[in-house]
Amino acid sequence: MPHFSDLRAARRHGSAYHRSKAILTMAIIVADADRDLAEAEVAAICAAATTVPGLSALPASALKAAVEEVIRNLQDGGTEDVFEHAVQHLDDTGKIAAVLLASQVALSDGPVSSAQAAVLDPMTRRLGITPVRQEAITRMARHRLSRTEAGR
Amino acid sequence: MTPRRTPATARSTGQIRLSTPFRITVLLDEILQFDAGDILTAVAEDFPDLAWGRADATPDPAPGDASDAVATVPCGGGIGPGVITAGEAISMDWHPLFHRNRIDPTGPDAIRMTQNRAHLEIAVNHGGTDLARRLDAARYATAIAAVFADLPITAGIAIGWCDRLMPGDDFLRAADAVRAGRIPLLHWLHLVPFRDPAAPKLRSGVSVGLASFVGVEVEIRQSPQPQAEVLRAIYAAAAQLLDGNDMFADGAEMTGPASHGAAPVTYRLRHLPEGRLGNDTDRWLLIHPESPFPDRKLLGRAKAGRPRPKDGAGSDGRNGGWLASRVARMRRGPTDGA
Repeated sequence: MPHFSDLRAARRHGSAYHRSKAILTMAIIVADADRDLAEAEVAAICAAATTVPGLSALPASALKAAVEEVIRNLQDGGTEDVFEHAVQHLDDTGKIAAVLLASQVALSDGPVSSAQAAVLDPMTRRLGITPVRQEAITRMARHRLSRTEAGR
Repeated sequence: MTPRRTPATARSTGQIRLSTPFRITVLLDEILQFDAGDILTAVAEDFPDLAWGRADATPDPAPGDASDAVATVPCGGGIGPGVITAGEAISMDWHPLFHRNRIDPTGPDAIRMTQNRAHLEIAVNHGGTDLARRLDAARYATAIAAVFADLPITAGIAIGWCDRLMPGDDFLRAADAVRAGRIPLLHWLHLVPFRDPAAPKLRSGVSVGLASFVGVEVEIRQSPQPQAEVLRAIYAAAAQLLDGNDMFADGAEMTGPASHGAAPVTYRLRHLPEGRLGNDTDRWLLIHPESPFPDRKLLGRAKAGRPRPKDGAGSDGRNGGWLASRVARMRRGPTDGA
């Protein structure tokens, strides 16, 4: 069943919105891996997304709509289908943005948990990103987080 | 002979129209999920110049609420709130409505409307007695409906008080006018041509929807003018009434809008009480000087005609009339024009 905010954001922002949902999908799957997503987690993902290349141009309401729509899709359709659909909307830059955001979300409350690594690593491989490159992205995510912490 | 008056009812249709909330129906291709917070965010983004209340000012109705309301949108200025109710597919005889709204019944817009699978109704109560509040309530209803109008699953929009039906894209032009602080007169009113059986070769027309704002409609009967000129004069008079003009009086004269270099027409105004000619609300009749319409026979002598303003008084001295000058002023100002 379509949701108002999703249709509205898609109408307003077109392909940029669909791409944002694809980028956000991986981060939401990772965040959901070891805890149920509460309102605070959703807000944290939205906040992290505003700094990720490719998402920063979207208004907060569109990002929130995207996060909520991905969560609904995960509840209705299951992780595998939702991730597969997201991959179709990701170009090479989008894939790196997706892994970067997912890594930031995983690192936001300490080291990456085993439950999170169990979904993050295979998804990263399926995006065609090697372990070496993933490590570089993780360092970038850690650096961005520390910069954000310092800025507070 | 003075025609017999229709007995006065406790509450006339015009009074009922004046107290009825402004309702707009959104036809949907499928059932839509939303909550009041989504809608409030959207209207605040799209209509920042309208005052909106806090999201927690009017909590969403509880499930099973007897009113069937699914969300309430708090409006500012004591208007509303906007109440949104959801319903199943609307099934009806669409053809008269398509015909009246000049929608091709075999076209894609019409087919989509008839195949709607759900609908939303937006109702905004003005909660007052003055024209300004009614205009504000219509603005809020238009704004709330507009955030649904551009969704890809919106099949059409019906404006309840004037029997207008249109695709969502068309309705967005009304929203643009509201956003710009103008009155979207061409969307909020329906100008309907009709044939008077007593003079089928002459032109007649009436407004539909004006009564929800001012309690009366405007009508021209048996005019020798082209149909477009008849509707243009009705539009101009309606705009005057929505502008709060108080010069409408039984027996008064008014000059119509200037027309392609021709001298503007001076109409006689007659008050047509509700029910006298089968009309469901009171109407102001604009009678063309060459019209054979027997207003004296049907309505009696004018009760309290006002003299036409002398040249220069309320006139710009060029187009010869206060109505034309008012219309020209309004075209520059508060309404969305033709």
